[in-house]
Parts: sequence; C-alpha cells; structure tokens
Amino acid sequence: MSQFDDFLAAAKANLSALGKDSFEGYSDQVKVLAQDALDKAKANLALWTGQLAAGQLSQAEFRNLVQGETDLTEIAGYTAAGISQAEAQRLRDAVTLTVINTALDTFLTSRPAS
Amino acid sequence: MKLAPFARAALALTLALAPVACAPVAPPPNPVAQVTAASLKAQTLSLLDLAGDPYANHAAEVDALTARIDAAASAAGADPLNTFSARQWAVLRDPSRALYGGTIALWRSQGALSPAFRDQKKIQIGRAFDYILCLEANKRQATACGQIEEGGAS
Repeated sequence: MSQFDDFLAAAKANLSALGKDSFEGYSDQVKVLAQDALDKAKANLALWTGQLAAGQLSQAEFRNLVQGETDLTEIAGYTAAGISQAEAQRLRDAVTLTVINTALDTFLTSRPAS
Repeated sequence: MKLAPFARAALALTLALAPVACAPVAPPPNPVAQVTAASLKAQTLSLLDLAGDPYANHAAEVDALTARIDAAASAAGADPLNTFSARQWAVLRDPSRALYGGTIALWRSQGALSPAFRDQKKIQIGRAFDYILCLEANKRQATACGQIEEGGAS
C-alpha cells in the first residue's frame, strides 16, 4: 500500500468518527429547540384564551400575545439554524484540521531526515 | 527531509486547499454581544414592570432603551456572516411585530398594559432574549440552552 493510500484510509477513518459524533449532537439540540417552542405555544394559547374570557386581557393584548408566540417561534428557528451553521463551521474546521494532521502524520512522521 | 514527489504533491494540494476550506461561514463568537444582550434583557423586563403606568410617564425611559436595542441590532447586522442574529434582533424590535417593538407600540396606543399581559409578555420577551443569547453562546461552543425551557407561560 502506498503512502497516499495510507493517508486516504486514515483520513477516511478519522472523518467518519468525527462526522458521526458531531451530527448526533447537533440534530438533538435543534430537535429539542423546535419541540420546546411548539409545546410552549400550545400551552400558552390555552392559558390566554381563558384570560381573555375572564376579562384579564384586552383583545389587543390577546392578539399581541398570540402574534408574539409566532414571532418567538421564528426567533427560535433562527437560533436552531444558527446553531446548525455554527456546528457546520466547527465540523468543517475540524475536518480540515484532521486532513492536515493526517497528511502530516502520514507523510512527515518517522521519515529519516536527509 | 525529502518527500517522494507524489507525497509532496498531495501535501501541497492539502495545504493549498486549507485556506479555502477554512473561510468562515459562521460568525465568530462575540462576548460583548452576549453581555449586551443579557443587559438589555434585564432592562426590558424592568421596563415592562412599569407598563401598568401611563405610557407618557415613561416615554423618555422607553426612548432610551429603544435606542440601546437599536444599537445592538445594528451591531449584529454589521457582520454579513451574522445573518441569523441580525434577523432575531429585527423581529424583536419591529413595532409591527409583537415582541419588544410591538409591545411598546401597544403600551403607547392603549395607554397602559394589564397585569396579566405584562406577566405573560415579560416571559415571552425574556424567552426571545434567551434564544438570542443561546445562539450567541453556540457560536463559541456547542451549548445546551436549558434556561429557555425553564421560562414560559405554561
């Protein structure tokens, strides 16, 4: 096996381990954020409807709270998307570093100086 | 140290591609932005405690806080890689939406806000800031944002 084959095999092994860990963590967090926002919106709507009926909220206040929940879900979405973007950035940086380190290990380590 | 020509070519290719691969797609962490957002959250929630009073009594405080929020939004929008943070600030401060900007608009038009509304809106706007802070924290390292789950009107 040539040195280049060694490099490819080592890089492939390192990258698959790295990708597996990173993607598992990232998808869980995004899933939790999205589910949390939806759960809260559902519970809040029930509460506010009761407060409107009891005269504790004006119609304008009720409308504002409902619209606010929609706006909040949008903001939560940007957080989830931003986390994905940051995760992708970190993964890409790590991949790049892994490739370079693997190249250095393969091509430069244990070679006699001449 | 001498490398075989093929190994040298592979290494050169790897190193040549590294700067391209490292060009950032996500914004760098900004500790100042995080501190600013946390401070603005506290100031906003304090201001909402006063929203049972007539708007005119606190117009100057509202204007001052709005200016600080506008400044934070402008700072977030200054980095073209900071798209998601900039959008969050835009939604938060927009008077035609229903978070900070829309709540101030309602306070102004309605004159005062009910206790039930203020309680709920404080939780809602607090959560909006928490999402902004969560995104900022995750620019540095993967961080679970448990404080968002603790807040909420439910």
